[in-house]
Amino acid sequence: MTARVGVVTFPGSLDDKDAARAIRVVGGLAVPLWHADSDLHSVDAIVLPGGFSYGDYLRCGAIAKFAPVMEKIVDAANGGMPILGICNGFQVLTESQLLPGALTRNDHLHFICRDQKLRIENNTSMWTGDFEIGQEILIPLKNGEGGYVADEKTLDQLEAEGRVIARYLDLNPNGSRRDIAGITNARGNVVGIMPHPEHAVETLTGPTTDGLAFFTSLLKSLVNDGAVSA
Amino acid sequence: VRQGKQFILSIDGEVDAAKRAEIEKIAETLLSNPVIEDFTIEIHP
Repeated sequence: MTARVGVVTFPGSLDDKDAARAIRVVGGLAVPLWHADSDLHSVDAIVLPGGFSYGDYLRCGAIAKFAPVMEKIVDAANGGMPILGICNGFQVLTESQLLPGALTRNDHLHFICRDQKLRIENNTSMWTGDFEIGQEILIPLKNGEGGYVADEKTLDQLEAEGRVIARYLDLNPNGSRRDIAGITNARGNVVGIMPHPEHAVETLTGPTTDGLAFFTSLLKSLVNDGAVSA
Repeated sequence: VRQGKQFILSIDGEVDAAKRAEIEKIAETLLSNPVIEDFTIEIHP
């Protein structure tokens, strides 16, 4: 059976089509989810895409956490369903307290858009199993509020438990503490990442195809968990 | 320098304990993010 991967569209989401395409490229079935849905349409996993949900009013991701679909997603995440939040999706995950910390305005106060080198530091989460530890990848980064912050105790805990999944290499583009580009929860099913793997799945449009491994990792995790058959 | 946001809520009737609790909840869950922000509530009759 083909893996069903939901992609949520909030008013103001803009990378939902690319996320759906990335899922199709690796052989999954992308299932559109609407912010007002109170049903997850039997999906096996969910991607929260980038963009500016609800116009980023108040704080990025702050209003999205009250969307009817998020209530179901929080329950599903706590039940172990794989959830990937990219950029604005990462912000929604921290606002929803599925991941610790917060994303704040870039330290230089400018929006940034560049191809960003990262080092992968975790290959045990449900979204990173196909990477090698220490693998360097290049994927697009585009954000205004991508500075990852958390208190020292939380940062120490993330490091001690191997929950930093990727760090910025060469330069820190937004002032993120300890160069953190992405993290996972303790269980490894919920991952947030500020750069955009879904924009690096085809050489026609992306700088590399390095982003593919997030999505192939997911499909393997689902097979290993018995959620879908191989 | 301190920079912040101010939200002015108009409440019908007296602000009793129940309404105060509701305002606290709104401030904590929506208007601020306690991970990066602090808030104080002032009530002006």
